[in-house]
Amino acid sequence: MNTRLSFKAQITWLLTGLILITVIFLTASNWFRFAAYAEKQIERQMYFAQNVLEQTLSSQEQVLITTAGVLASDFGFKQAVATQDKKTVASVLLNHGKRINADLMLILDLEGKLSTTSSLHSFDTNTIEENINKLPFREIHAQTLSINNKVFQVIVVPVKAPRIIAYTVIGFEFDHAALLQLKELTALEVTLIQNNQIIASSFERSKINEQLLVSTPKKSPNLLLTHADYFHKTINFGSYNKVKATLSVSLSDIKNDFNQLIFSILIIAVIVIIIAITFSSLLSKSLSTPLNILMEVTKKIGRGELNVPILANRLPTEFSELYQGFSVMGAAIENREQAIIYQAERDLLTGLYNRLKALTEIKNHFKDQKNLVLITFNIKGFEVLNDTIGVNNGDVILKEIAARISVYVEKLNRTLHEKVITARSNSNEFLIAISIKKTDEMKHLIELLQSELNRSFWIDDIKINLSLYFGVANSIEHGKEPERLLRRSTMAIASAYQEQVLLRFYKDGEDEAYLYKLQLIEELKIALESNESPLFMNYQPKLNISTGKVDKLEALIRWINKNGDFVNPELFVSLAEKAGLIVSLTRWVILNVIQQIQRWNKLGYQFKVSINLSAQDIQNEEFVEYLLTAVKKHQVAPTQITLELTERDIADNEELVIARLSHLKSLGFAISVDDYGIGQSSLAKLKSLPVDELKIDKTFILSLEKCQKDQDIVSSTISLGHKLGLSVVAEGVENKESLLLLKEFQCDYAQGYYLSRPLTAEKLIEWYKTYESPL
Amino acid sequence: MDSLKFILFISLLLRLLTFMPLAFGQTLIKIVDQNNAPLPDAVIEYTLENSILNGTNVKRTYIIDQLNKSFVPHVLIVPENSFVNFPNSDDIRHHVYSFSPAKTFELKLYAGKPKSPVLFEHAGVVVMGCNIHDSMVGYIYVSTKENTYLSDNNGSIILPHDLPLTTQLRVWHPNSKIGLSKHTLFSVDSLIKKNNEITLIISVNEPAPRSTFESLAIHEH
Repeated sequence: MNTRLSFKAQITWLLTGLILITVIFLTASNWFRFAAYAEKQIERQMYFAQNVLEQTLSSQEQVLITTAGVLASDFGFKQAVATQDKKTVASVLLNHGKRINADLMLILDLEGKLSTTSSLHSFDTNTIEENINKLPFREIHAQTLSINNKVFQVIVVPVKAPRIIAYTVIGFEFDHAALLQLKELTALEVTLIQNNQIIASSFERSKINEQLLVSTPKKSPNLLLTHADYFHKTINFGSYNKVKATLSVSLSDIKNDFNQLIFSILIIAVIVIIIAITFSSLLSKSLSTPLNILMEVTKKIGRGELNVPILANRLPTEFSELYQGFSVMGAAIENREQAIIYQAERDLLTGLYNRLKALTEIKNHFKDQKNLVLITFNIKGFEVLNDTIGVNNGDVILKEIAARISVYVEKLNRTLHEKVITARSNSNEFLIAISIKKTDEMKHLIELLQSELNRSFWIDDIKINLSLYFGVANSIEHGKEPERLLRRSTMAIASAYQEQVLLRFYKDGEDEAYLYKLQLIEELKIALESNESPLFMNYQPKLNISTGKVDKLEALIRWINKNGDFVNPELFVSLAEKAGLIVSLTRWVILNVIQQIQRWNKLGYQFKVSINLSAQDIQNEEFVEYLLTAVKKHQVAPTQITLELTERDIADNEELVIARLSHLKSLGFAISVDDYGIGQSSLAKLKSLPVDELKIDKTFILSLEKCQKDQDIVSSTISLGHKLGLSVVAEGVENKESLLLLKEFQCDYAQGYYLSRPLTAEKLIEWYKTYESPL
Repeated sequence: MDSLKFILFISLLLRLLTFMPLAFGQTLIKIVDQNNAPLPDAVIEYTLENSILNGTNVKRTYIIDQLNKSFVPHVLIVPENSFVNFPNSDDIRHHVYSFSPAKTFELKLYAGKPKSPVLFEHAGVVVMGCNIHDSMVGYIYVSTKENTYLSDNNGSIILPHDLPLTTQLRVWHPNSKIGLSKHTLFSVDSLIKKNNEITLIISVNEPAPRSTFESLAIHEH
């Protein structure tokens, strides 16, 4: 699972590593010490061997000299030599040579000529004379000498009778046997070398070459590494310079000793490593077993199995305590979890389900292919009630409602044995979902609930009657989608409000209209942000009745949505107001209109254009700033722009609106009161408003020519406006008769289908060019 | 004892002769080695043209004594066919021998006087030794010439007559470098002869250093 080493492996590696490092250091240290020791040993051995060799040679010389001297003094020998009886002399040499085991017996005359020889070696006369003559004569002495690659210890003895009459040369060869004797004495192999050629050796003949042809190893720790079996040292052999002796120390013993040492270290290391592995596995087992148990427990807790079983195995104290800790922790988590679940699912005030849990429950219910009636109700004016009796008392009422719902549910359970879901789905909205099989069961259930809830509520001694609006939807008719069903039932509450009825069933299509509006709002957001906006402006001309010319326009926003449908401007403007998009929308309009005015100005058309504002626009902090910036940027005079507001818009936060309007008016913008005459048209207000224009609502104009009352209202309103110094516009002019009446009433401007429908900027200019005044 | 006196007498006589001015008709021959040191025991022989062999065939017996482990005299000149006696004056025995071609003889271990003298019938140098005492070496010069003389301790020989020019002198010495069996030849001419004095130079070997087995053996005795 994990690429990293397990605990056990780590312990094992640690111990093994430590041991191996120790062994390596020990071995290395032993190596160097042993190498140094071996070197010293070899040096000492060499030194002693050299001394022994020299001593041996010289004492052997002395013995031989003595022996040879005695031989040469023998009268018979002298006599034989003196008489020069060659045969006799030869036999004497042989005889005497055997006496002292000489390998070489020669007689030389005083000139160094060979006179007689008796030798086991058959050298020819010349060779002997050539080699022997190198020797100094006259007195008895010993020397090493090589003849034809044989090395002899040679004793030269003058034969005196009594004067020197000849010289006897007695030689002892250093052959293999002699060198073996030297080997016995020195404990080293001895090899004699002349001119880099091996003459004789104590080595076995077969071994000689391989041993001595290997280059002599230098002194170093490598001594133990070398493949050579011997360490060699070459010294002078006797007094004769030409012949060298090579002493060879066998390295095999040293190597064997060292190998044994290393071997025993390795054996110990292996034993210790085995012990370490055993120990580490025991240790890790004693740790990992409880760890595994604890790990299992934590995994269980992680899965939500919070019941920690009682510890079965006996564990070390620390682990037992830890295990207990986990057990306690599991219990604590369980408690907390339940509390959290309760809080997550319940309305804390009433103990009923919250909206989310209710939806889940409804969903679960639908899984069993069962149907529900969803009864929701709302307390009318609950906020006002809260303000009146206080929040605490409000809460008491909510609790009382919950209690009554519980009573109701109990009653139902006695008869139905069906599940009832109850929830407080919003601050003052409750939900009761009851299982039904047919739609006609609903009426009875609702009536039962209403009878329970409609009784008066008492707070202390105060009696309170609540108006509860019920909205009902059921899954048989309205689908089994919990969210949608709940929405439909609350929508029915809203309809109940509007229709001022206490009980309202959801009607098909209401939800779709609602969704359509939501969709429009989403589309509008996108439309306001996109460069290729599906929004566009139409302009409806206003005819100056006194001049018969069109010099004013009303800008009207239009929208063709992505389905290609023309969206009712009143609908989407009111949606924009509710969705908080109106400020953006108005800005879009302002920018487009000002840009259009700028284009027209350049083309030579001078129109005053009016823009419709909402209450939110005029109250917006940045509205004036934005308007001014746009006007300045596009070099349009404020006097070319008229701002239209309804009386209702002005009534909302009146003081601020009046201040704003006064400011705008002072900057040169014209202010117009739209839809005058249908709202709360207050003359008192009209008196104090900074207004330039009055627009008489089209309801008075549309059938002006037929209705005397309309004519009276319009004519008096116009004269009222004029009296107040306002210009008056009539909108909704649809025929010539109305127009002529308006002229008669001295109305200032007329607007309506009789003149022109709202047109796009291009079509307006086309229309304008061909327009002829009907007056 | 007699011999000692004799030697003393002889040496005294020789000394007197040396220091005495040469009489008329005498010739002094001085023999020195290469280091100009007087060389005793050198033998000179020569032949005079007008000499008349005095035919005296008187057989005389010569003596070589053995005294203090040495032959006395060291060198003895005898004419051909002379007898030499080898009395032993030491209180130890000697074994006198010679392997020389001129005369090979052996007188086995004896003390006092041997039974009979030894006859030296051939001319030549006879080297004598003692088989028991290696250091004992003596020489008998068996001469055929009438005029054969031995140098004294001063290396001097006084000849009783004048030595004419062109006389061939044959000089022998036991340590001569040219060897025991050879003579060094000199021709008497005006160069070497001055006022009846002749100086002859003979190269000799240094006596062997006695550091060997031999010397050890001697020290032991």
